[in-house]
Amino acid sequence: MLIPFPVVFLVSAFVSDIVFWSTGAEIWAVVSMWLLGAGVVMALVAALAGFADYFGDSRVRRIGDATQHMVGNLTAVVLALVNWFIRYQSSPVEGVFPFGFWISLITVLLLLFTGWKGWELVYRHRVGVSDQGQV
Amino acid sequence: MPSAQSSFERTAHGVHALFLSFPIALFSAALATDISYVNTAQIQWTNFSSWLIAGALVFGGAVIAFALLQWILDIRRPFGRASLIYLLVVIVMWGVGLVNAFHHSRDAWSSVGTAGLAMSVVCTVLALIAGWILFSRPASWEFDR
Repeated sequence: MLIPFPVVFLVSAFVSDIVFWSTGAEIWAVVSMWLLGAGVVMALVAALAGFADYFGDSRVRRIGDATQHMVGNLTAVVLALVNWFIRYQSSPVEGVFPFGFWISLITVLLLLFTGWKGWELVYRHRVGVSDQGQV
Repeated sequence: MPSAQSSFERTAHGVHALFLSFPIALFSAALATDISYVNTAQIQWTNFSSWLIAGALVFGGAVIAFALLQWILDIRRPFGRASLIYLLVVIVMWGVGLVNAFHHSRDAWSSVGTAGLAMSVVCTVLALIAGWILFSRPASWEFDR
């Protein structure tokens, strides 16, 4: 149940970038940066759970969707980290344009793809689903 | 009888789970920012909280709609009681979140305080419980492999 955190934080970071673009108020750029940071941290925690499934279970490793999900998410995390770092190096406000905003967008698009893969993994391949039956 | 679910229901469940993810993460984050505010007294933390709670409520409203429809579908199924519990959990979560939102609209120091913190804790815990119930649902489905 870790996955909500990085997904929501990184998507919200993009939303907050849009609001910053629209309003120009510095607070939103700061919010973006916090959400990016929290998103990266939670993504790494969720990645540990994912690695346990992927590297610990050969059935999961054989699923193509799983590899795509992993590679896509690792890319998203790297992008988000770069995004955070750009803002850290200059300032939360200066970091948003030109690059931060677009990296945020690409990250969200990547998450749409990996989210779809994750859906397939749970609902079709039943990764992480207990087959003991009724809850 | 096997509880095979139509692919429409499975897709709807996926969208529902995505929507619930927002209150889970945003209420949790609001609790963290509330704690930051109480520790630092820097006003922007409580502003951050307010927006996080607002976002959680927006998606939480959609979750209630999903939960209501799901319960109605489930009334005669084995999962019916869990669906009702889930519906009640998300309604209470949203209600407390709403009161918390109003509380956070107060001025400065009074915007959080003990009451605000308590409500943030309640919302976070209820969101996590809701997530536990909802995310464990696929375990009860039969699928063609």
